[in-house]
Amino acid sequence: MVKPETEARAFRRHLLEAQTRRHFLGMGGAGLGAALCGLTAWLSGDAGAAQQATHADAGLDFSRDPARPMTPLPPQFAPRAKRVIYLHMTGAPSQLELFEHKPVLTKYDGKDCPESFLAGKRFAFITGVPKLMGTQHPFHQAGQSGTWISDRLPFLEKHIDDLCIIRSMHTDQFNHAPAQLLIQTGSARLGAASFGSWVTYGLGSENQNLPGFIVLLSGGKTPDGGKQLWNSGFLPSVYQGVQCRSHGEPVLYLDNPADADRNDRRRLLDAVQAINTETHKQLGSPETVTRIAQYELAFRMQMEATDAMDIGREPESIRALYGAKQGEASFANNCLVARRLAERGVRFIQLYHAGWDTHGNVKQGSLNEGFVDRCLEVDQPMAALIADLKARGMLEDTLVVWGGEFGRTPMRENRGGQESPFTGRDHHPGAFTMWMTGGGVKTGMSYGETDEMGYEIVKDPVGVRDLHATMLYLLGFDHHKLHYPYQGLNQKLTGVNPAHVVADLLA
Amino acid sequence: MGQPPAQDGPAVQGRDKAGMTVPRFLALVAVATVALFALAIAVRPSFGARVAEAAGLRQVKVATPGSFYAARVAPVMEAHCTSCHGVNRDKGKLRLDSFAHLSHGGRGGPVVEAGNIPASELWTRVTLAPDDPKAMPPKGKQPLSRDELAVLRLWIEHGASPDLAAGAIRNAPPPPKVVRFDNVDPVRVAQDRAPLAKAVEVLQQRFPGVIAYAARGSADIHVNAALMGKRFGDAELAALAPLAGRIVEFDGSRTAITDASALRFMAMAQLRRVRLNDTAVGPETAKALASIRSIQSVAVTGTGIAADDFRPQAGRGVKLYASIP
Repeated sequence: MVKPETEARAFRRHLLEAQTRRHFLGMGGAGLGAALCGLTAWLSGDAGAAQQATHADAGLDFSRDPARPMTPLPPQFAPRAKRVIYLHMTGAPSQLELFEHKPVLTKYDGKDCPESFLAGKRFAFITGVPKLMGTQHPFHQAGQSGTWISDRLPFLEKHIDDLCIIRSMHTDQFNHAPAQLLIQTGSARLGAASFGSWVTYGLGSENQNLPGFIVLLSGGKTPDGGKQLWNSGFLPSVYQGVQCRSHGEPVLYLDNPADADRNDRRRLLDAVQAINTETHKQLGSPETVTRIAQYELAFRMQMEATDAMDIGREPESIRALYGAKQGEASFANNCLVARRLAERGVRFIQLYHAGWDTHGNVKQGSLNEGFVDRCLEVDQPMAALIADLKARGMLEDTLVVWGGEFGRTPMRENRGGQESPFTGRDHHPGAFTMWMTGGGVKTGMSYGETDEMGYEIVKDPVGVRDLHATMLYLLGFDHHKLHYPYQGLNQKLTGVNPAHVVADLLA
Repeated sequence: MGQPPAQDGPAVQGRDKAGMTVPRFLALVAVATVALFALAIAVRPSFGARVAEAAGLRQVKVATPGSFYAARVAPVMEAHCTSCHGVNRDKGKLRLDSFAHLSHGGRGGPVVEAGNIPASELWTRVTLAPDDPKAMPPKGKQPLSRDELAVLRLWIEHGASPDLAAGAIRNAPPPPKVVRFDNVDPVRVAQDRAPLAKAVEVLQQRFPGVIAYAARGSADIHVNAALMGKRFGDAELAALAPLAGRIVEFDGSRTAITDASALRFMAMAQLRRVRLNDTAVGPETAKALASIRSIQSVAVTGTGIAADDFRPQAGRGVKLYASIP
């Protein structure tokens, strides 16, 4: 009779099965190469060179004590930014109603869209020949830089010279979920690691009593891409984003029950950890270590998270600056919390604000109604965030990024071949606008250009991979060197296709 | 093994079965070789040039470092051409990965005629309509930008030279900014860190997360005491004294640091960025920070220090953050 395989044996068998021809060749090649380099260095009598030879191709070492997965590691180069606050406007705000001033498009408002715009293009909803549509909100110039901006962002306008506006972003996805995945994880398909996970994997987190990657939602809707947007993918799951509630308790069940105190909690945890440690000894799964580390983090968070998330501890004047009101689940509150988290050494703070999908088929999803409300919800808070970070000297080493997952068409949407009841635009992956400010970014400038209709990029296109490479550069990494072995490949945020750091965006 | 070698037949003395003499055979080989060379050169002119160069009959053309070719033209080739016309592939028998290879031309002959734009095949190809089957780079690849085309054009017009200086063509578009990643030399880093390595290790144990090297390739130190809040005060700052000379960034916001530590900051002779927001520091600390020559940025919002305390430094380009707008 065949003895049933024990779990431990099965695990070791899986490990062996996971070894591939690539591993074997990879190890053989590296070993041989190092031996040769070592030999030549030894022959030339240079011990230092020998050490270097083995190091040069070794890549960066991200190994840590498995019990302390968030231990901070220095970046590859001296960083321009130490942390990121990423404001993602889910649904994709219209660049033509905010930053892209196109008088020629306004001139042709209501005219049939030229055939050349439609040939070979795929749209989410537009059918037949749609009409061109000029901006729905008037533009004017602002700041020393004389940058054009619409009248929907009066607060942000005061910081126009602090912004680095990228007008030539493009993506290859025209539906929300895959486009959000692409911009957050570098891949339109499920399973890749999010930007925040990469950053916490690469740099760890300074504050060991808070998660290194925190996600805050507002706008009443989870992003279309779901929790995959802050998933760690193939990276160890300890690096996934921790979604904190924007309303009520930031993290549920962090408080001790009424009849238990912190010592009881500690004794309970010790017992659980002893069992988990035993399991780890038997099976060796890194996910068990992750679990132990997460329990310990939660225990430490009891002390710190409540304080960090409580905007009630801010003076009234600061809350007023953001337009934040205690007890609300709003973008304003989240922006203020983001600043508090940044001060406390949280590495990556990701805000999502929903409701920007303005097709014009319903009132809330239209450029004259819902869009106006969305602008009111985000304008003052994001301007306050910039001002507040700046006043504390933190804009020098905090990177703030704003944008959606794609742009919107210069054509009015005609869902089902009919005129929509409200004004709206369809999805447009070919060109959209994002802005950055802070940590090492060149400010008071616009980069890239679209044609006079705001349809195609005519100068300096910036792909999603280029944006990622540039952000990683600001954080002190060569995007080629921040990698993780998985499925026989050194996985990277920017993947295997070429990505370029956009040097013109750097201060 | 051990057997005598088998006899293959009668030994041939200077004459093989077909009746050809050795000298005649050798002559035939020589004629065939010359004919093949001639054919090779006719089919592929670069072959002749390379043979001549190898034989020392012709000088190998090498672009001089700092030349317009090396600084401006080579990067364009590298970005758009050499993946198909380079060391790994030589489509059309053309390589563009060095000036020498470029000057050899391809299957169709030279690709650049000095000073003659219309006769330069290279120029013709990169300016064809994208749909043309002869267009380069081929359809689907990134075409050359306006600036890159201008660089090529100017270089050919100015004689397609390997040694014309990079600055000699005045109206050339400015070179694109390129980000370079420096190599980290671990031996040098270890040497730089060695004097304080032990102290850093001990203090990192005592203040987890607070003390970090600026980068993997640096011995500079960043201190983030703000993580500890009120648990970090003057006594704790005193404990960091051994590291003072290497601290380049210090964040002590919301800590218990007071003016009693003013002299501690003066010892941080390389300090560039300091944040002490929401602390009890006052004029003494202001004076100390103002005396540090390397200082670039001071954030003291929510303290007893006002913008006026830093007037001279602000004039020197020091950034000062002292109040919420």
